[in-house]
Amino acid sequence: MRAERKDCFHLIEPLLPLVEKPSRYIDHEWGVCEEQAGPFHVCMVYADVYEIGQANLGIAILYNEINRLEGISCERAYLPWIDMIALLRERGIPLLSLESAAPLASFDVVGFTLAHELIMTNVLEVLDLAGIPQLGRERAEGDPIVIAGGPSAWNAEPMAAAFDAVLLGDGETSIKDACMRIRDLRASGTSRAEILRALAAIPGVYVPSLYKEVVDAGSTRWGYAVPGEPGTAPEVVYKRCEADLSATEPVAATIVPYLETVHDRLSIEVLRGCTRGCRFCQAGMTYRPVRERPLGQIVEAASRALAACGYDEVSLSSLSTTDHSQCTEMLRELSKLVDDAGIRVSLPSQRLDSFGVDMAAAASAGRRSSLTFAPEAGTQRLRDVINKNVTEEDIEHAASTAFQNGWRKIKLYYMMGLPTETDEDIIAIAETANRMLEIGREVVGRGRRSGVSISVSVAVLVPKAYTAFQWCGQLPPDEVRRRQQLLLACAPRDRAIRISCHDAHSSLVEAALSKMGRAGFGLIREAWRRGCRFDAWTSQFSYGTWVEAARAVGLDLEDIATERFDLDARLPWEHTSPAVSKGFLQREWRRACAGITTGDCTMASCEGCGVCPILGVANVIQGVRS
Amino acid sequence: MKSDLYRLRFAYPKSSRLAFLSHLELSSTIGRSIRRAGLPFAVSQGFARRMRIQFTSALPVGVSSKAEYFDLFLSDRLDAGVALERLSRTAPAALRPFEARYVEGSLPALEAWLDRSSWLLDLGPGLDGNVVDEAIAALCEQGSFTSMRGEKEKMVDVRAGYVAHGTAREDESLMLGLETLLGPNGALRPEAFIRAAFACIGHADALPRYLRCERTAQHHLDDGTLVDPFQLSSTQFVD
Repeated sequence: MRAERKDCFHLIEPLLPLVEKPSRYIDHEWGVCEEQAGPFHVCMVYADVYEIGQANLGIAILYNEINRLEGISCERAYLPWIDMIALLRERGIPLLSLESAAPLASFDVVGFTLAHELIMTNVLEVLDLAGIPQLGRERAEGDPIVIAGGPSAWNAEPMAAAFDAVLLGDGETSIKDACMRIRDLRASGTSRAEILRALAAIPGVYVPSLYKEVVDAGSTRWGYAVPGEPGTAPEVVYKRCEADLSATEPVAATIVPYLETVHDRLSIEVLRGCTRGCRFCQAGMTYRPVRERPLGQIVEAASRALAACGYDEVSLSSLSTTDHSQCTEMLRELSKLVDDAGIRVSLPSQRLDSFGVDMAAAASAGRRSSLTFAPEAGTQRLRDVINKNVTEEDIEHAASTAFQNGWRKIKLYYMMGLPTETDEDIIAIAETANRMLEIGREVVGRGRRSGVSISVSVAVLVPKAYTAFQWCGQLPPDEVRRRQQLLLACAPRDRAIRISCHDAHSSLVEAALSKMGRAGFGLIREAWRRGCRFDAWTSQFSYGTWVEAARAVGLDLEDIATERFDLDARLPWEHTSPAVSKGFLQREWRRACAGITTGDCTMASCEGCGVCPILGVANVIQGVRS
Repeated sequence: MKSDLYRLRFAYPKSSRLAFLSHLELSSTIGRSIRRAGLPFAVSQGFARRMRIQFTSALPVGVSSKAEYFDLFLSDRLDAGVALERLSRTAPAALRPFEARYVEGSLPALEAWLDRSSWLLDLGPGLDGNVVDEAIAALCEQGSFTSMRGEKEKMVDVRAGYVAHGTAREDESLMLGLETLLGPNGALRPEAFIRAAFACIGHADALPRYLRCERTAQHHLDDGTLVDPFQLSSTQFVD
């Protein structure tokens, strides 16, 4: 039976003096939708603490879209930090939404964002704290319909048992379609099972319970999913795609938090999608095609939202902002707008060439904290394998331009464990850092006060669904550690170069969860039962517990993460598709092995990824890209 | 101080749920409210171009207030009533300013100038005023106590911060009125003070786990006389 909807803030108010950062739980921020009359109630959940979740643009977009609907209200909920969780459990208080402080279990729909794989135990923690059955099949007629979406929904199978429906791709329209369908059917007394069948008829909506897992000779050991009964659900659910991004609102986050969030600034989504084609990048494949917003819309939105929200920083967000064909004009217009108001403009990612540095300089006015580049691989050969189309010359020019423009600190992002990687590629990372330092010292000077420094951060490749590397196994952790040691050993003994390597174990868990099918749920639930949560937090992640959980359910994490799949095998996620064709990805894999690069279709000809013809969409470029 | 700037003093409360904002959260919330109001605030020069604003001493998280102040430096003079009205529309209700007047730009920084605070603490039912007197007298005799600030232990000088106290019964609860002075080593935190006092007489458990606390007034102590932030001499006002 559905929990009663009532304001329960009085239950948590006495706990506020007892916890860290009580402002996580107080609601009442500027811009919040106070009118929550419903009568149909949706709650969007980001299963991490407020300051992480409140910065998520996906939830912010859906929050506004749903609240615009007549008769449907949308609230927010986040996972409390461990101190508050302990108090809630100790006193038998259920998890509450922010706006109405109503029990999560009293909502009609509860929606999760799957931002990454390591959030999955947190989803189970939210459901448990809310008193909502973790398994979809155990939910009663009146229980909330639990839906999910987001960047990690491209292999939703490990969490398929927990979700009643998964929304694939852009959510602006599909969330409204789904909520209205559920509202209408609930009003007419339709059963839960019938509602789920009706949801499966909405484009972009995947209903896991209508599919069964099949393991056969053509599949991996995790099998693949097919409709349980023919005709009840599509063989393949393709993502929803907003063909005309300019018809949507560019300012998603209109709530101004009290607490400093991880991206505590106004964010304008200037474009969606990226076709540079980096072969490790899941977002590059799953957000296609590229849709640029027009310059005028971006400048108008920034002006309006800065006045309405009061931020002192505006970020032009996207997967590759400096690729926007009107980037130069955009920054010029914005700098006029913010000139005398102490407002900063920031770009979340820099293109690795002189243009990228010029744009960063235009954005940051006088500020020169640090500049971040992502060469991703140490040698030209390996950069060709991963299709990171930057040359040694680009990197050196970018560094030189950055130092000439006043920057002193440069951060470099790399990955380890890329296909075909050799020791030579690892050593080249250290050499590049050293060369950049030398360039900096040549430009700025060699004195101690020059302040030139290079910081190198090296992650471990996690092969993801719908990338050219989806068939790869992850590098075994022992080999990761050997290569990390090699890198540290060959790094120059210079204090101005700092190298940090990502923890191999959390990457291993992420890789295992990225590869598994529905059997993954048993592992995640066992890990949660043993206390795993906040796995993306270094302070909370417990590899030992994950290993024990895997052993308890008869699995081996390393074995799962490092397994290679046959190029022709039917993969666990093929029934939920971003419309990038398997043939294209197979070709990309073969080209990677041969070190052949693939062009960007917004600057050259179509490479045949399949997205445009399958979805009936096209790249939308406002000017000319170069 | 640039002489061509106008210094506008605002008074505001910190009430209800927003009592749980930290000082940093409070200052950022007020800064954003000012930007939303479109007030012609001055911006500092240099790389980090920040709004020119001064706050009073930080309230402990969870402590509400009837009397907080900030001084905003404006580059253009705007009628104080208009500025107050505009900011009232863009500030959260629990921080809505209720008074604004221009003050002399050369006055000392607010945080150091407003050195006297009045507090009201709800000690809950079941306590006697005499016990409070006894506890505070014992702590004053002891002279100092240690208090945790985050993960650091801090020695607090009672004589530098404690001024006076009084108790009264309000409904069931015993209310403690406390007067404190901002010392060279910072402010006396009322809750830490009263807990230390009760610990001093071995009654640490007599106080409730959560003490409701409110700052009721702030003044400047000028040679033994309390000066209200808005009751300045005529030369210190510029309107």
